[in-house]
Amino acid sequence: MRSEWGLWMSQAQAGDAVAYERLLRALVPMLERFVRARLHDQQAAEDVVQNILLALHRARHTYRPERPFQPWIFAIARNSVIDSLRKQKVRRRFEQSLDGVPDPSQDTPIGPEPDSISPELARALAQLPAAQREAVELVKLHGLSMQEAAERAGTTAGALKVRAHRGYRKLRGLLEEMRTDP
Amino acid sequence: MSQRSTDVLVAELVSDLEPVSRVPQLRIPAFGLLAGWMSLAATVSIWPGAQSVGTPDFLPLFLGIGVFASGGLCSALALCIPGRERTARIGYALCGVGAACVAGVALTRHATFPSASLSYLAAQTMHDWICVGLATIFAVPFLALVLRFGRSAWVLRHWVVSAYAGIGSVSCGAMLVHAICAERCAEHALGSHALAPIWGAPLLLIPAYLALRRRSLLPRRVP
Repeated sequence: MRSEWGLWMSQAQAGDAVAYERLLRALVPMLERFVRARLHDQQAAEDVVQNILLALHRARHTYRPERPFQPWIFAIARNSVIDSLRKQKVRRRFEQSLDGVPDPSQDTPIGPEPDSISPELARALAQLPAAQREAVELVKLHGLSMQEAAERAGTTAGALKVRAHRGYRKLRGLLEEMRTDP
Repeated sequence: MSQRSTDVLVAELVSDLEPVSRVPQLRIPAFGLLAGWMSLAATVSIWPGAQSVGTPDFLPLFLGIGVFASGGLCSALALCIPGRERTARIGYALCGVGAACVAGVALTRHATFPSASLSYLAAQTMHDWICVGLATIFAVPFLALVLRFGRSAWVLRHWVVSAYAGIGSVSCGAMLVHAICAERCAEHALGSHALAPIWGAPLLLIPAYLALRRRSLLPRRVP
């Protein structure tokens, strides 16, 4: 079956949607194994697999049928994994800075405390998707550790990290927008 | 994200599929670079005073810079296409051989330098900066060719490709300068010709990086 991947890819380059779908579906399990062997975060692994599929789609014109397919796809996969590991490293450094925040009691109410945050931040928080808002509130406003926040949100620490990270990024964009266009 | 969202993504990618034209084989831009270098060499050979062949150590330095240039350009081109790491590694090795050749000349000349140090070579280069400037100017067409290829391909590491394209193209320029320079002095040839990539490539690094980053992320569609 692997020998057909190159053929399917060259057919996809010509616009054959059936061959392309067959190829992508055949690649997903192999890419999942490849990424999971290198990343321990299940959620991040799924994100990386999706990034590889996107990169494959954008770089599909660089595949040449006379050359083997696997070194081509593994080069894309390897680079996506390296990018993800770099981002994780930066994120971990960022999350370590929360260690100094005092640990709140277990009965801290869930949800933002309107008196303790600025109206601008409250407005921006309200615009976040519910899952990201919850992650940001638990970690940043209530100072819970990732593990505690994940238990409260009913998810894993890895998934909560990703949600919080996306929430921070979106929040930063929203606050910048508000400052430039009050 | 879940298996379901991966399925949705696959469906979206399939629905977005359009025919694309393949990126050319690596040997095509490589031949382009060689043809460009030969036409420039033919032009500069009729330059008045192009008779530096008698300079001490002319040939080993010329070959050293040439091997270094081909290594840098080979790596830069190979890194524009996923899965060509082996070719890129051959380029790295060529860079090493070229650098070793230049270092060998420097070591044999070491005792004759008035002050055998890098700071001496730097001072020499500042004195004869015109050679470095010319090498950098000659580098621009080679760099443009590599960047043109890079923009149509899929660059995985923009800084690395920019750096190798910079040192490779400035070395190409330095070969030409080495051939036409009237200064018959080994120290000058080392400081201003062989080390030209060290001074010239950083000048081209950021423009090259910005030119590569500006590329469209979408593959070229068949018209």
